[in-house]
Amino acid sequence: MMFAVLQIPDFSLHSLLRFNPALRGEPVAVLEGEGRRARIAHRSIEAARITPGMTAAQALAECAALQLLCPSLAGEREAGALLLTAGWSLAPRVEATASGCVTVDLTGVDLQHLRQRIPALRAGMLAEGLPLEVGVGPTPLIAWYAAQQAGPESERWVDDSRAFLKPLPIEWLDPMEGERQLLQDLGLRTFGAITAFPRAAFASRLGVRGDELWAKAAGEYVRPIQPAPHPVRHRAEMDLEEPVETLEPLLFVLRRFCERLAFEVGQFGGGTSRLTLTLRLDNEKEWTRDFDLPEATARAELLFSVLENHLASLHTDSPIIGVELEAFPARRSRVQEGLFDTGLRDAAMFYATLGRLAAVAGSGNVGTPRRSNSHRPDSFCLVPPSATVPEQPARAAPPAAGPMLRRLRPPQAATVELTDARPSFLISPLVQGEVTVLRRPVWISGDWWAAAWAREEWDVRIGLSLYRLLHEPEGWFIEGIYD
Amino acid sequence: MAYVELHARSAFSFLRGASSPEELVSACADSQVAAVALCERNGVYSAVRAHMAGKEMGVRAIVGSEVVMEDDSVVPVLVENQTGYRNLCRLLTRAKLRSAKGEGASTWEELESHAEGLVALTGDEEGPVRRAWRRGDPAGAEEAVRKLLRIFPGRVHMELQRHRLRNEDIEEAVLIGLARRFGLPLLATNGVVYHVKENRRVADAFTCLREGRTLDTAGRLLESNAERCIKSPSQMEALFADLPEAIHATSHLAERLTFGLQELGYRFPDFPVPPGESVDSHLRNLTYLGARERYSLIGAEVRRQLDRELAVIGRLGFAGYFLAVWDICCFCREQGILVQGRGSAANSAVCYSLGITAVDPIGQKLLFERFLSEERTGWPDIDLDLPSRERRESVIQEVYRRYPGRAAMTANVITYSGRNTLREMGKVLGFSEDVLDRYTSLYSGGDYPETVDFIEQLKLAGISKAHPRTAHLIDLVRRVRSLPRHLGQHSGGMVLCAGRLDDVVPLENATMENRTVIEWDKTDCEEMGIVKVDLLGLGMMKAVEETLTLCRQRGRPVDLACMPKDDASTYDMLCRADSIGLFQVESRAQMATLPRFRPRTFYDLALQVAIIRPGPIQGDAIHPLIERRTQRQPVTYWDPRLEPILERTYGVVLFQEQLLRIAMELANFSAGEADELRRSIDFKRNQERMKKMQEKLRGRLLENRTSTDATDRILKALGSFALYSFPESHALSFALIAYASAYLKMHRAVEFYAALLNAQPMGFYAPATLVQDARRHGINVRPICVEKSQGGASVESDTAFRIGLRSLAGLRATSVDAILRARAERPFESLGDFVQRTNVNPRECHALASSGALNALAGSRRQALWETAAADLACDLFAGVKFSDTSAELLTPMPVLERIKADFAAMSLTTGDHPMKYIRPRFPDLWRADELVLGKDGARIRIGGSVICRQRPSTAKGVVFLSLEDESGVANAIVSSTLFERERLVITQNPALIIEGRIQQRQGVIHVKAETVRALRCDDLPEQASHDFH
Repeated sequence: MMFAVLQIPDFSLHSLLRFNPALRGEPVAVLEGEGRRARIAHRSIEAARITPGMTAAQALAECAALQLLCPSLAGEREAGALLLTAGWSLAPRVEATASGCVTVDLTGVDLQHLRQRIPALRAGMLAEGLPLEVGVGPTPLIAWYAAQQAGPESERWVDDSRAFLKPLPIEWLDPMEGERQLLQDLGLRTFGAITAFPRAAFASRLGVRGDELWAKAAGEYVRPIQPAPHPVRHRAEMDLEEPVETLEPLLFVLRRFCERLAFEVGQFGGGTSRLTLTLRLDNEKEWTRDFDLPEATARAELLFSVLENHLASLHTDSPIIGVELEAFPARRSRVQEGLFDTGLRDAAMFYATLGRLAAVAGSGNVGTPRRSNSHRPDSFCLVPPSATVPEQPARAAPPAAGPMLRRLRPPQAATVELTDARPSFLISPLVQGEVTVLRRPVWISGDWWAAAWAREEWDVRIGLSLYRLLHEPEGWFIEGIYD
Repeated sequence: MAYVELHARSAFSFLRGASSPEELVSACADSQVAAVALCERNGVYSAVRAHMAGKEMGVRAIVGSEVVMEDDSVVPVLVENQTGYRNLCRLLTRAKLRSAKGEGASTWEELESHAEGLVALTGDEEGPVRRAWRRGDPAGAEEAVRKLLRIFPGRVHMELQRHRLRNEDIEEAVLIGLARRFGLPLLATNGVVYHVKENRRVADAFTCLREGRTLDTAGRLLESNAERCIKSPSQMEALFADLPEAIHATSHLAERLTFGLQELGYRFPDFPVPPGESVDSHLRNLTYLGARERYSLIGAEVRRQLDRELAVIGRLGFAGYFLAVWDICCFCREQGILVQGRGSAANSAVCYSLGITAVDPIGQKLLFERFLSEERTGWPDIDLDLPSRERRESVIQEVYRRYPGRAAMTANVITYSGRNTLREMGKVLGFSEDVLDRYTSLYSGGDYPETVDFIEQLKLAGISKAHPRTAHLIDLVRRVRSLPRHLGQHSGGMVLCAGRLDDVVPLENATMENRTVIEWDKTDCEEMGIVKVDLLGLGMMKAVEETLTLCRQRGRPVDLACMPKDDASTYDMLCRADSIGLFQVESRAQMATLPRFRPRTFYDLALQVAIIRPGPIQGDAIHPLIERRTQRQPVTYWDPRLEPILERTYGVVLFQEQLLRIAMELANFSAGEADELRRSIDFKRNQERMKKMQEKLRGRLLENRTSTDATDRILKALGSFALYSFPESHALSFALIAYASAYLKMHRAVEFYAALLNAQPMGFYAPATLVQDARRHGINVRPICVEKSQGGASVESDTAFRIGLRSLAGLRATSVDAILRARAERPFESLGDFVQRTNVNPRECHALASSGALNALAGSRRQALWETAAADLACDLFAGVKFSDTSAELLTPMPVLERIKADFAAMSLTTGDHPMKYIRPRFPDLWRADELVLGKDGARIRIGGSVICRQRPSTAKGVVFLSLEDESGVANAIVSSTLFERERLVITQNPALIIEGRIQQRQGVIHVKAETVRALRCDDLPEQASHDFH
């Protein structure tokens, strides 16, 4: 029996860089851990002075231009799916062993043929932005050890297990922290140093775990692999780190998706005849569209061009924060009609209309107004239009109901004469006459974000009618009439 | 009569007020508001500050509080008379002492039983009446009025506040209706939260902090306008023009509230005296009894001084206080606890005779008036130094026991300062955690005084000036800085009271168990004449105490009292700056001064102790003092009359006493005026007070024919003293401990180092550095051994001590006891016997084995690790399986660097060589610390090692001092402000550094002036603790 391990080194870093081409060539490091416990996990070759385990502050002390990033779960998910597909391209039984690592059961595979295929596979993955290290050995674990020794340029085949294992460092045994410390303190640095002891001596000191460590070090540890289920659906999705407002970054992500999905459906169904694209917008809406293809294909460029053509004319009223693409497998011979059919014409039209409105009124001026949580009267924000009109909650009765105020929009400018700092006479196109102040003025002000604002409201009587006067730095206004 | 403000809160209501008491009182003074009542939330925290500020600014401070009730309503109460004040303090204490720190609510029954002497207001929107009405319960509002009237019959006022809010007139109409119905007088207040409108921003920020929101999400939780500021009587009269009675009621009520803090009713406890004795006669007897021991022969001078002091003490009525402190000292001596008075008490021959202090003030010609004079207000201050931790705590608990309900710790007001202010305000403004973390990282590790301005600091942390919220952040930080944030407890100040202490000031629980704290800090206590005894813990006292014990146990005792003060070898050691581990003279700055100042007498040492202080440094006193002492400069005086005063300090003003004597002799200040001058120096928080005293001194000096030049110099010295300097008596007290530590290091080194390690944490250097220093002094520091180690470090011979089991990280105290107990029964026969009889857990076994503590039983660390590995197999399949083999022979000995790493992992120190010795071949161009003496001044070199100190003193204009330790000692480097700012992260974040620069040699003191700094990266160099501070 032989096994192959395919592994992407610095997985979280390469998964990130794959979707952020602008970071290539820059000193970049990936942090793992929360808050102040965060430590550098991986770094790009441009950040050579940074070593894993450094704190962010220490790393920045070494390299001021360093860009610190958090791992991208979506990026890792995508890269992981691609890696699995690469495994399936070699043999059907593939185990997702760890993050960025798959184990392939090579039972029945022509090893000679495999030797020829692996370089092409590695080149293909590299083109996807993912360097691949490949190790082949008689057990899954030895294959994994071999992968650790393989470089991006050549795979590592293990023929003589004993000789191969002897100099390997104990860290590769993946001991628990206490075990690692003990082995180090004992001066046992290599597999060979461990296997120099009788197995029973090890087990009597370190118990079952010690026995297992010894077996691993001797290459006697064999475990069955747990093959990953073949995908039922071929989906790719990603929450974008920054909301996307221009087409270019979105197309970059979609290109990566198309490449992976084409590879995947190519392995299983021969091709895809239908794509469903869903864009998650910042306004908590989703934009979904199905694309029927005239015939099943596994060509990434073709899939991408279909999407690109459509997206070129698409406007959304809100930045895109997430993207999802699903490819439905089909036999390549199948021909479908309606290449340019649109399943959700109304939705698209709706958002296109909103987009056009936004172009005219400004992007911040389209939506459903909602009162802001602020003391400032008439302050509001625009929220995305709701698909349904929500039921209005029953309003609690005000403690003392007064007359209703009919607002004048815009407020009617007025000239007001003051006596003892109180309005006494008012002239306006709407009404004029002596003013009787009914209540104390109300003062409201704020100055946190925008320019400071302040307003003074007076409830007054002019003639037989009641009004609310508004005094702002711009002057006096009639703000409303009480019924 | 005009409006007075009867409902205000300051920042002492912690997040419910946005100005300091002083700002509020000052705003009242500016607005002609004659009186103000600060009603802090559940306390009278600001009462003293308001009282003092009011006295100074002519505003009457009325005492009150917002009492939080069990139903979360808040009842403001004002103190009418002394009974009311006592009741308020008791009420608040009762609620607080049954609650966790910072919490507490009173029941209505408690309010009722403590209502006498208090006047209640119906309160604002949090008051019981308006709360009920607002929740749509008019009947509840009525009931609340009835309840208040039942509790405070005839003493309830219907509080009306007009903040120009919509519909407040509707609510007000209801309140007026209730007032008319129940016959309550209306009372206008403004519910003040900040002194000026601009501080509404602080109130908004505090609201966000309180509610856990940001300003973006706080919305209508914030105030809708800025009306809750201090308003003038005319503004309030205009506001309440339709209800003039509500305005008049304020002054009427204020007249009725006759209580002021001047009638606090505090009395120091009566000291029990033998029948037929008065406290004065008892003190006299004890003093003379002690004097006979101290002076053996009481000469005329001593008798004259004692009689003079006793007369003053008697006239001032302080005899009981002296007896109480003497009593505490007696307790300490009975318990074998070292105790020594510090500070100005050492100016008193009575204190010396009573055994409170250890410096003979007559022999040292100290000024008694610095300690006590008849003109001086307030109580004298006697601070006692005690061995730190358990021993001090036992004294504190004894004081609680002797004065039940009559003693408590003083508070310590923690203010908004440093980077935490930025963090909290940044959060409120919605800055991301990343940015705030970066700021914290940049400015961490010692809160260095900054040379770059605040805006630049923000820029370096990634907060651009152009950021739309940066201006708000800067403004908020500026406004919030120095406002109280929370209340802690003073490090050792205890107040004592004749009666119940909670009649004088409310008490609350401290975070520490079995401790209660009052609401006022030490300055407040001093202002109110509340007597405080400082019981301060000093690590060196603990070390000295233990050294003496070890010496006694080993049959070579040292009597502290008889220690020769002129030991040449001790002074030689000090002159060599061989001062690691010594009290007060071990810092880098002291080390840089010792070889130049070259102390040869005890008084020299007192000067040495006093010289490295911000006061003398800022006052440019160091250089002239050294130059004059070493006769490089002639001794001159600014005025010939200064010669007798400054003779001992070579014409340089160094001590507070000298300044007071200058004021008394050259400016004809009375003792009381001199004391006022001293207090103006002490009170940093009142710049005005100091300016006034400076002007007074200048005028008097010039009147008394002092030249303008001399006057200016004296005033400059006075200015620098505001930045801390020691009283001479204090310097002498500290010099005693410093000398004792030096003498013990010189003559009882092995005991001294062992005791130093046992007194950790203390001092300037980590244990690792102390051990290396001990080794350099020829002491064999032996590693932990389960067969020989005691709990702490123990002396094994005149040249060797052994590290104690307690130094091993991860070894529980119970395991230490178990090992010692089992070993006392019989020696351990084998490793198996050890594990079986001590029950140490596997983790502890590993720590013991890897540190070498089991070598005596196993042969080597690795064999011990191998043999004890099975200890962790309790539930394992292989547990109990015996496998006889010779496999341990396959183990190789642990290499030295691994041993050192294991030592540091286990004990944070190594008893072997410093690891730099072994990694030096990898860095061949680095100079060793002891090679620097061979370098020429100005030569360009590289040094490297573990950083053991990063210091940026406020007096050094941004310069940073770094100390790097290697196998030969400590090398000191000076980093310019510019270089530090450029390499801030490299310097503060890396445990080991390589510094390239030029040698500076000045009179035997060597520094490297850094030009470049980089991290020394080496996995084999363990991380050492660094003492970082300003």
